[in-house]
Amino acid sequence: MFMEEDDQSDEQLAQEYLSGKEEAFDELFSRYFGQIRYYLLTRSWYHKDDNYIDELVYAVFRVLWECLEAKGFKNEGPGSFRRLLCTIARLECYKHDTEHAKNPMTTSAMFPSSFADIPIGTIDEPVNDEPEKESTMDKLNKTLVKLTPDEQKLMRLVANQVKYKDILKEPEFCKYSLDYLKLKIYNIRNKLKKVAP
Amino acid sequence: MAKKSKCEKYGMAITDYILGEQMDMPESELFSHVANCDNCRKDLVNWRNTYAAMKNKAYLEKPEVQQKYRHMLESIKQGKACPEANLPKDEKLIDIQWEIGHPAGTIWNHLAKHGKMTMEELVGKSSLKPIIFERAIGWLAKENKICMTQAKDAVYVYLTPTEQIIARRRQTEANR
Repeated sequence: MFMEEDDQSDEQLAQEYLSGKEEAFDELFSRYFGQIRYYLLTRSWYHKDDNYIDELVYAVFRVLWECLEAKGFKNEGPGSFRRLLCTIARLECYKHDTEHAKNPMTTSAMFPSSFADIPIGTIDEPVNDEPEKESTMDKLNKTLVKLTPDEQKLMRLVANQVKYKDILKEPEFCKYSLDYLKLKIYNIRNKLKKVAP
Repeated sequence: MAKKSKCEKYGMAITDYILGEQMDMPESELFSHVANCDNCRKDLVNWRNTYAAMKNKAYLEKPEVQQKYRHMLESIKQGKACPEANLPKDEKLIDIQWEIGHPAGTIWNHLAKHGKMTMEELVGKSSLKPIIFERAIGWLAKENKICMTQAKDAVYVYLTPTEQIIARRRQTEANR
């Protein structure tokens, strides 16, 4: 009986790639593309720029590919591939971010227009590298479904980086004042609090 | 009580800050508060992560991402530089397959269905923008899918004999 591709563990796929099955890397890429992108969005100091994040995603998978090509992966049981990928992602993110900032260890570098000086560790809570029981994306989808249609539309616009002034031009929201719109988003944000760590 | 309403004020500012909007207070005031308030610091991280998840979801749902994803995978394996790495901010990569290949397919289908026609008729039937139409015609010509003839008053386009056979076969299969 054939085993479904999805049933294979990451470690099995990495081993298959090492033994010459090129499609195994495609499967790993497809499995982790969205997750690594989210991981980098939460870690990078420049997360507002989509192109920057795409460059980072590319760099992570490029290093992973080089690592596999150089037989740099050892299967040390379940989770070992994920740990390798998270380590690469963390290091690449740090490397790229430091290249973009003169003094990256302070909040003033993270948020260039501020004069505050908070060590980065206090504000950038570590993200758990281990697989979660329920992914953030699943939690987000479940929570978004519970919002009213107007709230869902508003969050879609916000997620697509539409500015407040442009949201206020939409037919559903043109009667809102700027303050009311801000309050509305703030209230929805409180409903979404359990989505992310 | 006073503490709660004070934090609410910063909560609104955190929302605006993460969304890159104008805040009702200077950034330095927000960060001095965040440095001293555990709840607001957690709130800032939580909203940043939630917003990242929302942005990621919106990004992954875009139709062009599949193409970008394929480009990226191919480039990684071929050891090429990231396709979009050195582009200026206001420029983006044109997805050749999507923006020229697909319109070319539309034109091919029209020619398969209606046979030989003038360039003007084909533009009208395909409903493509002139610039896209020209690129797509170039694509088909380069791939030897079409023939063109110049008459006194018009340029005629039709599928090459091989493509006509393929078109007839597809039609027969579709009718079964």
